Amino acid sequence: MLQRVIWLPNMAIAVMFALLVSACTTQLAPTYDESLVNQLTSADKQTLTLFASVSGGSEAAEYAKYSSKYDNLIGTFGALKNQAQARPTPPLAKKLADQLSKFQILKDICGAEGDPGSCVNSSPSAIEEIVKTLSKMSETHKEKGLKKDIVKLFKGGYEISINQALTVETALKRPQ
Amino acid sequence: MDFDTGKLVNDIISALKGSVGDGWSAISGFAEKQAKMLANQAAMIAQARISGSLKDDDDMFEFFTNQLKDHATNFARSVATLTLLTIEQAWNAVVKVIWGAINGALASVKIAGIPLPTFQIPQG
Repeated sequence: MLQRVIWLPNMAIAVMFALLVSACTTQLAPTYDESLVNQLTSADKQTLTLFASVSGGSEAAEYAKYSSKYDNLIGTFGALKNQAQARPTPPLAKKLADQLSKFQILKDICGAEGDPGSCVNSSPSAIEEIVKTLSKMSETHKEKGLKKDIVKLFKGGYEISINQALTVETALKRPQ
Repeated sequence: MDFDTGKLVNDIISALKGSVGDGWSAISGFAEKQAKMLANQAAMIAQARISGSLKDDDDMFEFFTNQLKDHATNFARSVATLTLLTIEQAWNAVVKVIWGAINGALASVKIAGIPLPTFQIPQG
């Protein structure tokens, strides 16, 4: 393609050069959301405190003492999932996700819920898993109490999901 | 015109080493940690089924095994997102270096620069 040669004053050249280099960078993954990372970190601390308080097991009769903590955490993580999901997907990433979902193996992983964006914006599904874990734990605690090894299993599942969400969300902070 | 090809080659390599190196380091560290967590969780499920609280609890056993499958899927999705991020950073770093060199050379003789190219995804 022919480039038109234009003679410009020094200042204009300098400004244009800076704009051309700094603008128009390609974005394939979602934008970093500091508020989401801070809220996930805060909710993680509260959840680990809950796990610590029932680590030795807890009878169903004690459920009432923990009920509001479960509700609060399930609500918090549900809202954080929505926040991560509502974040705009970069147009190029959306296009890429649509292309990737045409391959069966990637469709199984990235588009299992009819959303090919799951591999572009992976945190919502990890946070959704946390909601499922805490909901099942609350229900189990209420119905039959929590044995020590069951608490360990819930905690193990929770830690896998929060590690996925926090690792990806933190990585989205691009170097300046 | 001020255009040092040898310097540009070195700058491209440095930009790639930085972006791909950091990206790969983040992915491999994450993968190793997740692999350990998934293996520990699988071992705890098996132990609880053999001699623990899951021995006579089919509902809970099914919940934890299904959840393990979800964890593996979400792990793959997370690696995909981190990989896209690495590609994004490598592309931006290299393009910035090459187009910066071209525009720098053009600016040195007072010719207007050219915009950075956009990443193209072919239509399937």
